[in-house]
Amino acid sequence: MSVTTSRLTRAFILLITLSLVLAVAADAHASAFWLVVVVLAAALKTRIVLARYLGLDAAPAALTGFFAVTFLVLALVAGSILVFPTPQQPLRAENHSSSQH
Amino acid sequence: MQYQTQNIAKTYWLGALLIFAVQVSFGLVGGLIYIAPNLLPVEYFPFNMVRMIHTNALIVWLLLGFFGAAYYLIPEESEREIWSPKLAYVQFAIFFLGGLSAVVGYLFHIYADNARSYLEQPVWIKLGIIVAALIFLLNISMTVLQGRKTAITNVLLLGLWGIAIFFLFSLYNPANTSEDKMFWWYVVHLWVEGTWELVMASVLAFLMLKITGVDREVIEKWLYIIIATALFSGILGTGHHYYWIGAPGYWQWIGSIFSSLEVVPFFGMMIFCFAMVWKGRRDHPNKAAMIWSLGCSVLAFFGAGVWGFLHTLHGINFYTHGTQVTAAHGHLAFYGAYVCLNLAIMTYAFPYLFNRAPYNQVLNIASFWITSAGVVFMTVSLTFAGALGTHLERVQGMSYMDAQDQIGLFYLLRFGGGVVTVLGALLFISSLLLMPRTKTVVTGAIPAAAE
Amino acid sequence: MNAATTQTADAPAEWGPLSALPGHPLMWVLIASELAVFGLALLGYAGARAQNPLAFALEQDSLNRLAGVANTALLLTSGYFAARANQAAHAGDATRTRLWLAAASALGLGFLVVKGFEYAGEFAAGHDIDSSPFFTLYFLVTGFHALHVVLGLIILGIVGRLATKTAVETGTAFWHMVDLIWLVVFPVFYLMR
Ligand code: HEM
Ligand code: HEM
Ligand SMILES: [Fe+2]
Repeated sequence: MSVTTSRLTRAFILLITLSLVLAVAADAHASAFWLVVVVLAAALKTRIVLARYLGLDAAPAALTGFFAVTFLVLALVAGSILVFPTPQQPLRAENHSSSQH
Repeated sequence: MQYQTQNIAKTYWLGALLIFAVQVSFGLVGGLIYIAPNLLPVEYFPFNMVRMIHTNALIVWLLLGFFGAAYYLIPEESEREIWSPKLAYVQFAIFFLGGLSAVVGYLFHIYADNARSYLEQPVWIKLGIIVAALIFLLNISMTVLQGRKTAITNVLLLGLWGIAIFFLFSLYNPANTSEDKMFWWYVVHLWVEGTWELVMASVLAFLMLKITGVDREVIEKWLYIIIATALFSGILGTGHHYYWIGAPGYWQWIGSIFSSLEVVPFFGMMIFCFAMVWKGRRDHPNKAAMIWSLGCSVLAFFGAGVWGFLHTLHGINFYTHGTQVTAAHGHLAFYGAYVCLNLAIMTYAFPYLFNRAPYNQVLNIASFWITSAGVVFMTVSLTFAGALGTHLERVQGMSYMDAQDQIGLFYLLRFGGGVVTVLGALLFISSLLLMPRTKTVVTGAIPAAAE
Repeated sequence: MNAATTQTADAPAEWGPLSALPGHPLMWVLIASELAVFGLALLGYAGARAQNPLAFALEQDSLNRLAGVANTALLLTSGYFAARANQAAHAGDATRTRLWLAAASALGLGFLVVKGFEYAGEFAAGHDIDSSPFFTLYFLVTGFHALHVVLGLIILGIVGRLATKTAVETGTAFWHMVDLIWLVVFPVFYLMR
């Protein structure tokens, strides 16, 4: 357990910031660009949690391995969305009526 | 042999070998009926009865083998004699006679009221089995509790308790067909993909400890990882039998995901065995036992892991459910994981039990290759039969019997593989029983445990 | 051979590559297994979505994204507290360990409350685990994750009682894993389209 408090706190702040980026990115119009932003921000968050929260900084091989898994899953899902995009034409109006915000 | 009561294993294993011979012979009869339905008089050899003897005898002798393995290895691990040898023999008598009379009953067409594959024993025999199981658990638990506790005995005990507990589900026969199927799987699946796996892992660990001489600490860690992944995947993996029996649709996801991970412990056991043999410093004279152990881990990985995964995703199982693909998997999985396991520990232990240096090694090793080749050949034939049959019947829509006609060739091949299997099995049995006259004093050759 | 071999676990060197990881090595076997399960489920989601992207997009749009963002913040903050608890445990300060763990658990509970409101809304809108491929996967995966939150709370409670270094390290590792999984589950179900 080598992570100091200040490193931990910085990790936490970065995580929250990235979450905001994610939220904004997701609310923006759905597009390949924002999809990539979402994936990168989410992947970066998993890396921070693995390295700082879980302390894998001390075990670089495990950090690489576990991060590869989370990144691969995110990337594969995103890839499949790019290959099978949501059809744009029908029902666009309803699509925008989501009301939670 | 270091402890007198290890002798109990002899009785169990001789009984097991006898039923093994019966089991494969009836398999052969079943295979014959497939290719020449009118050759044998159907009054005496109806297929359902032949099949039932084949599969029930399989379960009975494998369990007898496990009991034998427990009686053999627990004294060595616990460093003390079995608590009550007398009870052990009483248990054998109940179990063996119960199993035998069930088979004889089938021959005279006395079947159980609630017949479910593998569990077709009449109720009174089931109760006998439970009594025998209770005696067994009492006996080994007392031995283990009073003796040295090792990871191997802990896991073995957990597995054996689990086997007995899940067998209780066989007593409950709900009227609702979906529920009935579920409870059946609670026995069958949670046995072979749960509790039996624990037995397999611990017996393999014991064999590796003895044969390779790798440190116990290292072997224990592997054992823990293997059983952790087995239980993690195997329990919810039951979902792969829920796809089409009336359970809610989300089980298709649960079953597919968790059962895919069931490959992991089988893969782990294979890597474990090879890593231990690779690392091992000891040159154990019983090469045959080592080959059976390694073969067990490899064929279990292919039979359970690869052939299981082949049809475990619900999108694929939708087509292959209940075809010869299932039978192909059933054969290689049972053979690799549990038949080979039993034959491995017997091969290892017989020389000690009969106080001889390892004997008939060439014959025994030959029987490994012949039997395994036979089973693999049967598996491959059935896989072709299953894949082709699935395509003709379920993709192209051909009627069942027309499709069967088209795959007849593969049933012929399966029978050929079956003949080889039976020959291999008989060769194995003779390699164990036909001992050289001279009792070699092997005390010096018994490698002390590496700890 | 002596009694030491029968007590498992604590001798670090024998676990090979697992020895380098914080907490009990078997926890890492569990973490890897859980990641595999959720990973496969999310790949399954991608496959199911590919067969009907439009239906998935519409139903995905009906999720409460704000609640999802709030829950992400709750878990990340909770994870931070858990990491502080771990530091306190390493410093041998049992009281502060327990305080941090209690704070972490409170936020975990908050996560469940938010999730509960979300589910209530979705049920009210007529969705359930059998209503469509999207919602089957959504309820399965998030429900399974929520069960892990519950289990994590129990584990935090137990290691809080013990408050030893290894126990807290192991328990918080589980908690961080729950956090980690949410960081992958959340974008896939709520954001990626
Ligand atoms: C040693 C372990 C195993 C043994 C002995 C075994 C044996 C069997 C047997 C005998 C059946 C046929 C049951 C019946 O319907 O009568 C069966 C079915 C099945 N097994 Fe296994 N199995 C093992 C492990 C596995 C594993 C690891 C998987 C998945 C990866 C798997 C997947 C399946 C599936 C999907 C079925 C259902 C087939 C169908 O729908 O017809 N099995 N197994
Ligand atoms: C040690 C070797 C063997 C093992 C472990 C074994 C195991 C099994 C199992 C588990 C089943 C049930 C399969 C299912 O429900 O899908 C089965 C059925 C069967 N086995 Fe074997 N068996 C062995 C040897 C043989 C041999 C040598 C033959 C000879 C050809 C054979 C022929 C059959 C037949 C015909 C069935 C019935 C299949 C059906 O119902 O369509 N088996 N066996
Ligand atoms: Fe199964």
